[in-house]
Amino acid sequence: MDALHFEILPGFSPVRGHPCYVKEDYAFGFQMDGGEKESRKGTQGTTSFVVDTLQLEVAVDSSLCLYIWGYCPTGRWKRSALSPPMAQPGSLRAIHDAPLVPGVSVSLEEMIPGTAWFDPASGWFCMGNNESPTDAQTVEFATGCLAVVMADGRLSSLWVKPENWKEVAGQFSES
Amino acid sequence: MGDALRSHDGHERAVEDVRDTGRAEAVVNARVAEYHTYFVGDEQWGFSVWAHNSCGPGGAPVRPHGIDLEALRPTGTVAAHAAERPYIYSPHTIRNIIELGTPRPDPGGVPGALRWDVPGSFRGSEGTFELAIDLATNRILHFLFRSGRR
Repeated sequence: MDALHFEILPGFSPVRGHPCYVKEDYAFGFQMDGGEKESRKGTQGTTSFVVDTLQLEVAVDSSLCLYIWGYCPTGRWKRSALSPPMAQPGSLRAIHDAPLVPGVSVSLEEMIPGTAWFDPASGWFCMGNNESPTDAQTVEFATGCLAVVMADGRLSSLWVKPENWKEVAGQFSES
Repeated sequence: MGDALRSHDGHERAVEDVRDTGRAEAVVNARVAEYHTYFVGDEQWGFSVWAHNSCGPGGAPVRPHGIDLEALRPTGTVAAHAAERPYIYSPHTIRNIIELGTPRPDPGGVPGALRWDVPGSFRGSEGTFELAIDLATNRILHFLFRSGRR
């Protein structure tokens, strides 16, 4: 196992909320449902794992990943017919040698290629490997947010389906 | 937070907290001839800090790379997370990055946007401050501190 790896916790409830893409910000956002923020974020605050400028928010207290967000202009997305892997609901926990520090982001680019894919027909966005390895498992750790975890604990890809995906697909097709 | 500010008596005082008072207040851009620097404070404060006014050559407002520093704002998405992570979002740090770093066209592909990757340290970690600004809207598109050198 690498110093940083991830595990799926099947018995845990995914973070409830609303993923979206904010056109004027060129960014994904995620609005947590009421009560989720207080219960999930803990007392020490958050930081993020980063692929390019896309962020996987993580609570420092629990090392549990919360949601996907961040600057991600559509101009760099590649069109692809995407079929998200079958996902089980649960939590995604980071396991790390070095402690997480609030506000100090950690790169995931040794695990996940910084290639962004989008399927305007399904609304799914994928960062990383858009074809899941056979030995991988997928977790829906937050509403509309998936992570593909390989047998060795490394992440293969992150997936998000914004609630306003039809609007995003329209913009993407025009660009 | 944590920035050391020089006082008139030679001591340094660290910024302990930054808060939004929710009040809009008049401010002045006071200019002192020659050096443009002065100490700000009074007896009630019990301390002073060494300040520099906002100006460029001839007293013109500073607009590094065409950015209006006074009007610079984060996008709604960045602002929402800045509120969650006040420990990383420092306007002072962002200003330093803009003024001292060398930008390049934003690899994200937004026309006219600039990107900075500036080595630095934060909370004991060595790493890189990443900043992207859209010149067309004078807004911060992306800002974070990433551990490790890129």
